[in-house]
Amino acid sequence: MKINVLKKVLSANDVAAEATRDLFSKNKVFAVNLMGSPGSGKTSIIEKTITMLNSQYRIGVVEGDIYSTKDSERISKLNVPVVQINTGPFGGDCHLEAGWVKDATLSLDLKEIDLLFIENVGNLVCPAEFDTGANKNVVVLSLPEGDDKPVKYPLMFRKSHVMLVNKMDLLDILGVDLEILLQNADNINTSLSVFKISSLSGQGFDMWSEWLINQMLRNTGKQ
Amino acid sequence: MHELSIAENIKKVVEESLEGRTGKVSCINLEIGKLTAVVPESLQFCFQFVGQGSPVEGAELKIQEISVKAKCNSCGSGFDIDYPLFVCPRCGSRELKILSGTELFIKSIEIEED
Repeated sequence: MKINVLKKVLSANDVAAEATRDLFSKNKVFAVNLMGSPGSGKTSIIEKTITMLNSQYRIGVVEGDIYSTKDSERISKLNVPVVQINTGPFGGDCHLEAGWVKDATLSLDLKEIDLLFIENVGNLVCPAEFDTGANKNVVVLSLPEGDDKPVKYPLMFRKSHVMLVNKMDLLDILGVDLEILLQNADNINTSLSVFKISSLSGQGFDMWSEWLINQMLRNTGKQ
Repeated sequence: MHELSIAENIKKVVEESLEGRTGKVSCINLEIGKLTAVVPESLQFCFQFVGQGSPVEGAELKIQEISVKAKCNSCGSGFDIDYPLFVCPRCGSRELKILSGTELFIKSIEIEED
């Protein structure tokens, strides 16, 4: 006997993602999902952004990792609320799912947070398939990874609203062709907002922070 | 690796759609767009393990891959995207509407009733 089902495989995650976004919206939280390869600099970017914005805005962080708590230990030194999701107990998953993010944020006082960073598991493939409930997706691509990553991982770059080109301080040393990298990204997703940054030198963090603040004010209606 | 999560989700959705019917699921028909980050072979591999001890144990996953089709917002032409280049081949515009290729659907299941 044949039964018609016609259902999205990830419908459970999509429902959870909407519920998570509702929770953020109710608490006037602007949530950003940071994705990128291991070592692309996601945690350093969060650290640097926190030190720049911490005096004006209340920031919280959800850290995703397979096993360790290393990233959350780094973030907690900055005296911001941080909660760790280890996907190990869920089977060592390579991405975050919306339900886990929602459960994790229940241990944060969301009313006391303006801007929430969700640091996804380091991976350019799997996180792209799962909506976390964040308001915006940001992909970090560091120069040592090469100019071809948008073409190799098109879904990630299609699902992202922002691309942070990190480790710009290494541009001359690596000899990466930045124009080709930007062209490749534009060929995949022309509506990507691009910021060229370096967590080490601080280059580009003024523009990135300005984007974050504008989006946060627009999304939450805060002044 | 996320094929494991996807396999678990397939099992869950199929079990729900059985709505109490008994019997063994012999086949699950899926539509998977080429723009998803799903490797059919990995999904098949993971599904073998996920299904063990459940009504979907041993069920065949029939995967129909869906090509990426787009329509240009500027000149209106429709075309297939076979290479990661989201640019209109006719007018060069990058303002496209993706019509297909992002599917991750369970279309139907086939069951052998007791």
